[in-house]
Amino acid sequence: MKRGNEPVNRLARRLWLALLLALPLQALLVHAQQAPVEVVIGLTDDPPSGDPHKSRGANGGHLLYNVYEGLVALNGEMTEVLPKLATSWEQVDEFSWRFHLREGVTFHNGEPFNAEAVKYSIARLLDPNAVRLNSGYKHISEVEIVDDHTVVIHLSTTDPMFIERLPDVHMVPPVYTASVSEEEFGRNPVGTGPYRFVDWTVGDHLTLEAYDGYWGTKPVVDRLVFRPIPEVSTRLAELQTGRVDFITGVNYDTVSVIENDPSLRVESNSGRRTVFVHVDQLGGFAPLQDARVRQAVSHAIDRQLLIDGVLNGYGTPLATFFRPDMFGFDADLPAQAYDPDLSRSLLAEAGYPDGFTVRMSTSPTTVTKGDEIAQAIASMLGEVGIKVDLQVVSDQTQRDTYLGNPDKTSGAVPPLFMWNWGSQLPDASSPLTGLLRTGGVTSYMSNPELDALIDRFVAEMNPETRRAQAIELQQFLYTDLPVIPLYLQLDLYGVNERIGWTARKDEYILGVDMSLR
Amino acid sequence: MLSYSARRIAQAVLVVFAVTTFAFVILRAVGDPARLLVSPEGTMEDLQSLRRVLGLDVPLWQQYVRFIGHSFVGDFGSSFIHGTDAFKLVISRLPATLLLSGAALLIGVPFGMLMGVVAAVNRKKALDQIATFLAVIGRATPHFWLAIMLIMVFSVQLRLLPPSGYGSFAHLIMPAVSLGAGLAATIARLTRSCMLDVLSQDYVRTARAKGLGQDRVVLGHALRNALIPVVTVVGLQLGYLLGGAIITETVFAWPGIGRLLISAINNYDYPIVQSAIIVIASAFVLINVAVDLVYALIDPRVRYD
Repeated sequence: MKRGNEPVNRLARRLWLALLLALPLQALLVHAQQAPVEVVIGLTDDPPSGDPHKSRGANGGHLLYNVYEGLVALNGEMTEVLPKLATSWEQVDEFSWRFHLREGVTFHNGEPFNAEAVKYSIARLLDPNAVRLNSGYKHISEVEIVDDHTVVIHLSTTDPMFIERLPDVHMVPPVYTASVSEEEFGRNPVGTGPYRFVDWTVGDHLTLEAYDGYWGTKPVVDRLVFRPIPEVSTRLAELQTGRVDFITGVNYDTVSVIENDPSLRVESNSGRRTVFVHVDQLGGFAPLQDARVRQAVSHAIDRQLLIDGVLNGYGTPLATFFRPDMFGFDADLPAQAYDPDLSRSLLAEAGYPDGFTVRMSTSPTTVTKGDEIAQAIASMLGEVGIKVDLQVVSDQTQRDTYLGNPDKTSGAVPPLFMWNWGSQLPDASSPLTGLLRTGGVTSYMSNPELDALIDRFVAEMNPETRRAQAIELQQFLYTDLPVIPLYLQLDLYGVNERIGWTARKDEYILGVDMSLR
Repeated sequence: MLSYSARRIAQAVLVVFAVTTFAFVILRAVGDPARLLVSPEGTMEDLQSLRRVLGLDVPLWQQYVRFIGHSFVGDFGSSFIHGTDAFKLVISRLPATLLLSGAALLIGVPFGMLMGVVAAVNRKKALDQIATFLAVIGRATPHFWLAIMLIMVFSVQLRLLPPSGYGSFAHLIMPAVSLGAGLAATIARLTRSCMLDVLSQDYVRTARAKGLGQDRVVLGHALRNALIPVVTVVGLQLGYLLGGAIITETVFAWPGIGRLLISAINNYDYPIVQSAIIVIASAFVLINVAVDLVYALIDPRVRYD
């Protein structure tokens, strides 16, 4: 080879090399355009089951609300009812509602969605001989099929929040559901939602894929993979290394790690769970039966300090357990004020100038950081002379002790305990009946006048009357303090910047809410 | 030997039965699963009807009779939480646990024995001190901390290994190392002390006196005799490992029995806890029988006639 040819040869070689390199690169680019968009989500645990009539909790909801739909849905802030499998509805009379069903909808297995499916799904939810989460639906007395796409649902009591309850009543395909065992159904869920179930290895991963035959707008994300990663620092490591795009249950202490990583961001919702100190008024502990003492407890607590000091600023102080999205929320009531002097004078007025000693129970997880919050509260109460004997137990023990306690008058339980309520409805009827009404599973008081007011509120169909009742109830909660409200607990998520998403109040992660940036 | 084995297996069945009964009673004394399942806005009647559906409304002895009756036909109940066959769910987690236990043993036993032998042979020299130091560190380091540190270094900083999950060799490395490290430390210390004991025996001196090389003395005469307690401890450790390395499995999101068990205990999911206890107790007892039988192989003084 002559020397003079060398530059030409070099050029030729370079061209070849460039071509060789470009080919696979181009192939890759084409591939990238066609490759399905996959989002991997790190959860705190497996969803319990794919059976929408018995699964619960946020981890269950991530699966259910992607796969199933109800007749209606709530928007992300839980302030507005949206049509889903029903296109419209109207109230027939005080006890019945007519629903016009969406036509042309099929379940993931091809079964048609129709009036028969609505009747079957509600009957299955109300099955008294199976484990069912149906406490809020026992007043459904009949589902009447008018025609293939019209049903009338009859109730045995009036229910102003009936429509808002329906997002949780997921529709299941009658033929498939009846043909398999409950176990099989829970492992291979079939709904009408935007995502269909693909596979599930419990403890490892759960895959959903966008359903081609979906009636609504197709989601941008083709595939959702949920991975249970129980340890919070491991979840964070997975997010940092880009192997998962999304994590739930972000620790308040590690928020800064995510904030300081330019490829990640923290998302927080507006809080579904209200956190409070519950008071046992039935167990015979005298001081707490006096409303002035409960007020003293409330005014001794610096809520903003709890939020800033323990929760890294994530939280909103509350006046009562009414959330801002709840019907009749009284925005004029300020959060309970921190005023230790007022506390001391209230205690003196009630006959406890030197305070008293009280037992208090908490768990680290019933309320996020429940141990640290309770320790802080104990020290704040100590400032006004109330000596707190704090008992930190597990979440299970806490729930086992207070939930459904058959002997509430025994006085065996610590009279103050940390508790929370995450109502799925934009309405206070569930905490009112569960926490305050005589006989509620976590009610530790008995006030017949209050019971009567709650009963009227729960069944009142006139919005204006009901709004007045809501204000009256909040005034009562604010001054009588049967539970001592603290703050709205916010849920934190770590999200990869490539995904557009805002957190929902109901805590669920839905593929349809995601976009690519 | 045969009659001995038969006797041991009969004992094993009794032990498993006793453990299961104990677990059955204790579980029911601890907590009420219906209270964890009931809807918070539910009523006391809802709670009672849940107990009825779960079969918890009848007296304890009736629940026990029903449980034993069903057990004989291989029905250990359905998980309260997942609604699936509890025993099947436990068995489905067994491969992951076996894989992790096996890998931890493969790391822990050879490393531990090597360190122990090297330390014993070089008693009071630098190598001994280094090995002993490593063993103390290995024992004293909390599993949890080691696991998180491994993730921080090898996943987050160096991006070499996946932080968690299951399914490939890369996923196995960190859990196996974090579990194997503690095991190696235990075995190293035990091997060292057993070796020191054996090395001072008359027959070792005799072996040396008749001119055998150091390797033959250490590996052929001393190590074999020092193995008996080591085999016992390895057997016991394997039993614990099969019970699920709860912390390691949790940190690395490894889908083994330990994680399933801890979540079932937290949810009072009786059928899963019972099934898991049957599996773990059986594994433990079988390993003990196997260890006893291995004694006879490595020590001619042990005979089961």
